[in-house]
Amino acid sequence: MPVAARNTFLIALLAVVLSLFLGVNSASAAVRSPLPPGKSAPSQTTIKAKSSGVVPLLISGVPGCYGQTDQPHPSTHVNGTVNTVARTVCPAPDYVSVNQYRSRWYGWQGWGSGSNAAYGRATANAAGGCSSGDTYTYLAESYHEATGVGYTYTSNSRRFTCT
Amino acid sequence: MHLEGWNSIPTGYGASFDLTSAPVWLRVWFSTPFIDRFAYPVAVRRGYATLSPHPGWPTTGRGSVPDGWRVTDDLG
Repeated sequence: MPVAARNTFLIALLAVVLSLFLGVNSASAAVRSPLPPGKSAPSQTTIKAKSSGVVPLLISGVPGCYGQTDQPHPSTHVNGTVNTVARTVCPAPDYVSVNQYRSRWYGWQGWGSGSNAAYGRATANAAGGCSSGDTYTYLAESYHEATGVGYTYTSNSRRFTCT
Repeated sequence: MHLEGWNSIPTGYGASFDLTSAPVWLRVWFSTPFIDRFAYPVAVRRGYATLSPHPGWPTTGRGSVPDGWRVTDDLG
């Protein structure tokens, strides 16, 4: 067996043993527990939204009414910041709030938030600092509400290096 | 130490990792604190990592993409 393959196998074996010891029995690339304080476990709707990324999620299944969270990314307008845009679109009084997090060894660290309300289309931006060369996984979770129609949650996650 | 996917991601792209179809041992490794970093290059090599361009990022400013990454033009 080649040395590289043997090392990979040994590290994988060590990971399995350690995870069994630590009681880790499930994994997700996008979501690591625990969620930030005050946050409940994501609903099934939220999990589906995570896997579909920026795909809009209809509010209460009403056509033309949706919530959407764009992918976290370094700002091209303000150097040294990472931001996420989220929107609620519906011909009604709309509200959107977005919380941005970055993954740390101890869990998700709050990294900016924003909210907005408007009729027809509400857009909010969450921004946080971003030092050159730092690599993190960023997660944005949004709450979308259209008055008289309903509400939904969406989220999006990306890992990248700030330049 | 250079670890593709952990501390090395091509400039101008955001990475996402979908391990739902990955072997159990890799998913467990990927979620294990500290040593998870060594699972990222394996996930990239095995095709479980996708790059999507940052919104608004100039095409000419994107870095070269090493083997293993999947690349999508989808901004999602």
